[in-house]
Amino acid sequence: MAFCLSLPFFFASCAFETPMYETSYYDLFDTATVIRGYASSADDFQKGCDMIYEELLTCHRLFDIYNEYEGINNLRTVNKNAGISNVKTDQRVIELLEYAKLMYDKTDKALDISMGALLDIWKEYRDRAEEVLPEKEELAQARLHSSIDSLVIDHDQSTVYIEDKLMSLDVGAIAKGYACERVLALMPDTEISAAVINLGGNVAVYGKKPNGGGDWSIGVNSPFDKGELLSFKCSDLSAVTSGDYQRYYLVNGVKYHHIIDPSTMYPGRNFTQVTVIAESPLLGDALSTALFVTDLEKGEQIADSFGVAVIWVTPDNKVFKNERAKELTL
Amino acid sequence: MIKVSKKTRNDIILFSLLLFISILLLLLFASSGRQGKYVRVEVNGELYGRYLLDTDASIDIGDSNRLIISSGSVYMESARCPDKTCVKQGKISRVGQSIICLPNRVIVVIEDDSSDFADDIVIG
Repeated sequence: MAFCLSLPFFFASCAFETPMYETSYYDLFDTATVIRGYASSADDFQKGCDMIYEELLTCHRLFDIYNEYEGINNLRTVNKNAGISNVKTDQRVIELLEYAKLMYDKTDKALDISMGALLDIWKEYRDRAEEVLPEKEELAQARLHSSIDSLVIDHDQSTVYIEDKLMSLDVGAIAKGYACERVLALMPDTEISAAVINLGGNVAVYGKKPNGGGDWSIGVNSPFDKGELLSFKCSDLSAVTSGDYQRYYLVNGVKYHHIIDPSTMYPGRNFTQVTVIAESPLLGDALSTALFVTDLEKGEQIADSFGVAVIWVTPDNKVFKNERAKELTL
Repeated sequence: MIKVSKKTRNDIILFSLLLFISILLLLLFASSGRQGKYVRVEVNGELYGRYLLDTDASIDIGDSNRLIISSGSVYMESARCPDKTCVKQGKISRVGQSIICLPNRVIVVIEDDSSDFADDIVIG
């Protein structure tokens, strides 16, 4: 009798539960990628991950400005041909660059992918990790060779040309967001019913958790202590954080981080952390960088114009949330 | 009757006392051996992930270890290290129990419901 009674419970608790799987990759976008998802079998999950990985790898290679790969024209090829010739490239590159141009206008020049030369100098000094700052003159020279108008895109021909020989593109601020967006688009073709993809801090959530789990919960950590600034439930949403603690070097005890303000040529000093929660991971990625180097008042206007939620944390640990962010709850 | 010296008698008392305390502690821990709620995974001393113990899962920790959550318990299915101590350790499910893979610096701990609410994912 006891056996008869327990049998249905056994089935209810085990047989109909969709198991969760998780896997990670360490060779994409110079960061760790974690995919956690629900599928009816390990095989289904693996096949889905293979598709995701392939798309991410393609994006990684196309947006790489340091290495070339056989058989493709990527941004490195585009940069090398600056002032020389136009380059036929993948539609993904065209799409990303067109989006970057649009966002340059919509963020009042705060997102500028034409600053490759300037960012290269900062990267060089950061990698050397000595207590030395680049000369202002050196930075100014590089800044002269960055103008989004010198980037010529032919959508139909799928070609890109940089008019200024000394200019180069750096899409680090939006590449991961774009890759996440591509992954979300292919999820319906996989057998993964719900997933959260964490591409080095660019988090995208797809679908609802099965087994009655419902919405996913996302926590945003404070940069100053172990506590959480915010914890909220969501499905089909993305969150991304830009922080001055992610990549930096120290000079006389002052942090020189990787998010360079186009208007000053130096690391942005208004905030320590900016988090954007948006439907589109690409929009979130672009805005988190742009708002990091924009003052709070203007940043709030930009955020509201896109209808995204934003949390700003200043170096003296003051936390600001816009109205949309205040609406997010568990 | 065997004559017991004072010294030996004290030894016996001490021994009995230790035995009694040991049994008491054992009983105490055994009774608190509750079924856990979460599986906490740390790599290199940093939180890697927190998973529900009642949801079956297969978790690849980097490319070194594969952790399996199945029917309310956890075990290390495979590990890329010479000794495989963590794999041999078998299944755990009680609060406080742990699996440690020293070569890959992976720690798996069973946690209670009373600990902080666990988000699916944390950024920042």
